[in-house]
Amino acid sequence: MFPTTQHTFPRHSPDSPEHKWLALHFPTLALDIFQSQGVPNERVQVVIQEQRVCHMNEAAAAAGILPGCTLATAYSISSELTYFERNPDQEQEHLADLAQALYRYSSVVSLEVPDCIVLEIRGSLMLLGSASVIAQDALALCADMNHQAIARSAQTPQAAIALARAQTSRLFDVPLHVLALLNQGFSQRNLERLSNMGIYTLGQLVQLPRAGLGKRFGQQLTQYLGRLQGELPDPRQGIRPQTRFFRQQHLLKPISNKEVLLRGPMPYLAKQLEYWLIAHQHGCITLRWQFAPFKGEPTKLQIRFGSGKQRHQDILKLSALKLEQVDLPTEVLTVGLDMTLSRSWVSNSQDLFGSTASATMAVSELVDELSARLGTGACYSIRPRAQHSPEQAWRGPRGIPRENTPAIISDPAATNSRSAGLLPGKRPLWLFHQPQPVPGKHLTLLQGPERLSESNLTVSSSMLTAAPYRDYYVARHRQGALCWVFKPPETTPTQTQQGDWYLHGYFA
Amino acid sequence: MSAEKTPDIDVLAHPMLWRGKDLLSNTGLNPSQHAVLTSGYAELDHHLLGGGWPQQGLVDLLLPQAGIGELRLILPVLQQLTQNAYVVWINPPFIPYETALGACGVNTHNILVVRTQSHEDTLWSTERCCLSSGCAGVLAWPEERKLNIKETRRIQLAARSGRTLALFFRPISAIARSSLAELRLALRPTHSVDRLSLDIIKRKGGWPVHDIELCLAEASQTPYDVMQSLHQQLALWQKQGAHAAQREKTTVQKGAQESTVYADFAYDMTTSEPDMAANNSLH
Repeated sequence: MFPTTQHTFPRHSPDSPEHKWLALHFPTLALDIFQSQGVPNERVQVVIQEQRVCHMNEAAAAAGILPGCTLATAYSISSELTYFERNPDQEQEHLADLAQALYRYSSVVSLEVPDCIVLEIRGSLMLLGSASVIAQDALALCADMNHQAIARSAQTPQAAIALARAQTSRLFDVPLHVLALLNQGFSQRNLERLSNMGIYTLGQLVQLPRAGLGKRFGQQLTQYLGRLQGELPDPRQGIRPQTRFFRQQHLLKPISNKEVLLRGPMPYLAKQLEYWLIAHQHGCITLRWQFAPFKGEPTKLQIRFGSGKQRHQDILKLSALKLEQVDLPTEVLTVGLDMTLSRSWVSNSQDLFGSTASATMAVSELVDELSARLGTGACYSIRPRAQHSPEQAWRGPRGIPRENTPAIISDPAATNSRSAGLLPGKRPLWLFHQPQPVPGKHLTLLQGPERLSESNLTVSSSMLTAAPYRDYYVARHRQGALCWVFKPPETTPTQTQQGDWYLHGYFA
Repeated sequence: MSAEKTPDIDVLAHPMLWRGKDLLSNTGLNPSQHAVLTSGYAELDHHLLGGGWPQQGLVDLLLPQAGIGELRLILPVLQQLTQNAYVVWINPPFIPYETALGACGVNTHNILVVRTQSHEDTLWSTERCCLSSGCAGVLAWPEERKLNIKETRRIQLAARSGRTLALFFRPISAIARSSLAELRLALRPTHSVDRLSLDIIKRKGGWPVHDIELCLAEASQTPYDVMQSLHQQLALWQKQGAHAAQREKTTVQKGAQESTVYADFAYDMTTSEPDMAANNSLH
């Protein structure tokens, strides 16, 4: 009918380095979205649309259920059937989430509704290796997110999509009914006309003269073929990475057990966060879990990390500790994860022989754990403060304050000379929060006095607030302890009644 | 003749003779492999297996009361542990005073303090800290009434697997209670504040030892010897002052007034010295 022309496909191996686009096709997207809501895959499951089965799992296929049959027929084949109404909106949400996660492989990630994602991988080939490596990684990522995918790479986005949808490696074999053309207004009738002409595959179609095809089937077809073969430009709109991570998972059945939450929805959301963080090169600092019942206010769980975290295991470990401390609604129907603060990711490498830096890293995780269980203020460091008053000369910043760790003190002699030369007097190793009154007859004075007189030398104890100075002595208590005692100026009569002396620390 | 030769055979080296030390080598606690931290006190090192505190495991310190020198006893260990790793203090009875610890050569940046509300939390924190690779030491003050032998076992195992030195500070009354610690020491104050008497109640590779008296000044300065160092510092200033005065005299002919100022300063220092010596002798 048509004279054959020179239009042929360039022949490339599937893993040719020239491949610039990777398409991921999700054939079971309609069913997969229910898998992530905690429905086990072993049971017979179908998705129905307009009372007819449109998708089904392997168990259903094995039972003999065919696509297109009615729900009643499906029930007659398998009485243990679980069915879901198709939810196109949720499918698109999941597709968008997948695209966000795939952003880690390419800066141009484009959605091809209803069931494909296309990535421009040319820019990532140098970094990640060949197209097949990227495809494998992307498939593993999708599998982690409970989605089955088929990946194909090609020179143009349309070719990659066609290959992925047809699940073949040669464009020549791609049947016409899977083409994206059908979603773009090319009518089913035209497709029938082509099949009446004996044209079933893309290979046969491409060999026909382009001008004649355009005249009979419209410019839309020739433009599509031009884009498919890279003759016409095909600009694609990439997704924009989300600036904020917030995901919710609505459960099909309410969960009342914390263990189940920790096995099902929480790891799923934590993994999503991990992908988001990797794609954005961020580390999570604070996040908030939300556990909402059917009606009423959700229970919120704030979690804070000392250093940025990316791995979902780290996130879950702390979440589990914190979860033990709170009371959840009796029946949780929605689990939400909101990342409230993140920082640019700084990768840490462990030292081979151990050092202060690697110890700090390990301890920072420990501090996170302790704070998650014991409360935020339960774990603190001790730091000096430039104050003359002994009880104010230290502070306890929460956790490990971010600062430059000082050089390791390697020369003890230098330390001793520092202590001997610069300090006016020795300070006790144990300091009391509040000076304690002690009878003078129990003490034997050994050294002193050292007078501390500062305007801020005040403590909250009402007896001592008026003291303008203190004379500190080193004394031995009759029970054997070496004490740091002081004698406030005898201005108020109450002090003499209490016994003259105050114990403020031990040289333990 | 053969009867006379028998004493030459080293009975203790006979392969059929089982000795307590063999047990140590069989369980991987061979003294050569048993990593230790020197205690800083030769007398104590002499009595401890391997010549120092165990680097991993639980040690019980039993005290009649706080402040008798328990921190000065472990200061050399703290100095070593805080160099590259963290030491966590769980529920200390008082504030560990940064200024004093820093002056004693402890890297206070590597010290963490943890406060817990319940006995379970204390044990949990202790175990977590023992298992953390960033912690080299854990100092804990557990609640004596609730502490049982199983819990000491658990901490001991955690400390060994995490290669951490865990120290439990317990009242002296715990001497009668069993503990699965590697080492148990009972501390007692003596007549002198610089000396500490201690009994080894339990140790690996030996019998208990009683009445070891340690001079705490051996490893750390005594808290009231500050005058000594001040004397040294003043003597140094005097020398410098005298040198400077001499140089002034020789090089600058006109600066006679300035040199007298230096001389006055030196004079002041010398007069103050006997006072301080007298002050020191009082103690």
